[in-house]
Amino acid sequence: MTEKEAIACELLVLRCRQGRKEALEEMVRTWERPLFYYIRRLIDDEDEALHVLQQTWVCVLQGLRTLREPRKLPAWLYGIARKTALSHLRARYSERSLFREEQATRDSEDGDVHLSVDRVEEIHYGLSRISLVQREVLTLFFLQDLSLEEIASVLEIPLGTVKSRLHHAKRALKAVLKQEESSHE
Amino acid sequence: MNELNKTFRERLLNMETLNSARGEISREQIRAMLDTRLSGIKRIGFALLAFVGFWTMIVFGSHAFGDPNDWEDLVIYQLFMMFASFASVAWTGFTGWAAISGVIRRTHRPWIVATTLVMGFCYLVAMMYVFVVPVSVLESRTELGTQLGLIWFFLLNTIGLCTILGVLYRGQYKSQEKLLEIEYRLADLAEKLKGKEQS
Repeated sequence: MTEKEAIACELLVLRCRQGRKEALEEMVRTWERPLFYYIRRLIDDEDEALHVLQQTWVCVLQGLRTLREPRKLPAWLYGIARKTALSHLRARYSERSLFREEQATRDSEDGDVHLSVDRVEEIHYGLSRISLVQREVLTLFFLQDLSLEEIASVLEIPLGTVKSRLHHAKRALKAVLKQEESSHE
Repeated sequence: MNELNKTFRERLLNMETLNSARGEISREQIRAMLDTRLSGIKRIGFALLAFVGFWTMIVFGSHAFGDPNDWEDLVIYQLFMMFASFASVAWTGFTGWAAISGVIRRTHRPWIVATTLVMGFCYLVAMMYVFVVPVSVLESRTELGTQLGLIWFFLLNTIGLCTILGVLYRGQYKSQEKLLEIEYRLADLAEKLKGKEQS
């Protein structure tokens, strides 16, 4: 995030704290799509994702006054979205099953980690084929709203783990894309 | 974030579209979730408050606009009763609406709190009028004037303090906003200059 974007975030938070309707609407308008995209990558069902998005907004609007660093608004928003989505998912899956899924994908992947940004459509569908843990870190990376340090704070893991997860996630996605290509040929 | 990356981000976001009708419904639901829904007991509680407010409004109103008694001809007394009856109208309106709709809107919440505080103060002063003033009026009319003056002094001080705090609070936000706007323009200018230098 550039300095200008960080200032714009602080300005937006300040206006929202004053209870200005247009500022609140601007915040929803700006962040609705990326948050929904991120939540959708965590939750398969669209209606459930929409419900989680609503709960996220309620938490955001209620907690806006307690936000200590307004310039880190994106990280804070993604953090709330993640917590809300995970508590929703926790009711369905255990942490252990999520971890097993990650291990299985990590073990099976191989190859180049470079991904072409021109293949947006394939990447989008490929994301749904990799494990939840990898999908999550890769989605945050692709949305480009956060630095790696901020992704680490959102995911509550060390920076090194983010880098390694990202590396494995890219490899997994690449493998999925290759697999898709070969099945089409 | 360079242009290519921005395009990639936008294209990626476009893959997951939230149609406008559904988006609007979702936003409506968010607004509804921000309002506090009242349980049956709380609704009854608010209805009682509205009822109390309504009767208070009649009592205060009759003292404010009715025929004055021997010591009630003081302007200060009638002014207070007018103020209290208007506060009662507002309080009755807010609490009554909450009881009828079963919802406290986010925007109404501070008004309910403010009118409740004002009403609490009005009741305290009214108690003084009922129990303290009639006793002292028998003794000395000058003392009564001093007492009422003190009550008004306290009331006006409180209102003044709240107003000053509110002005300071808003002023702080305004100046902070202006500073950020300047900072934003400077950052924008720096970014443009950097872009020119690179090109």
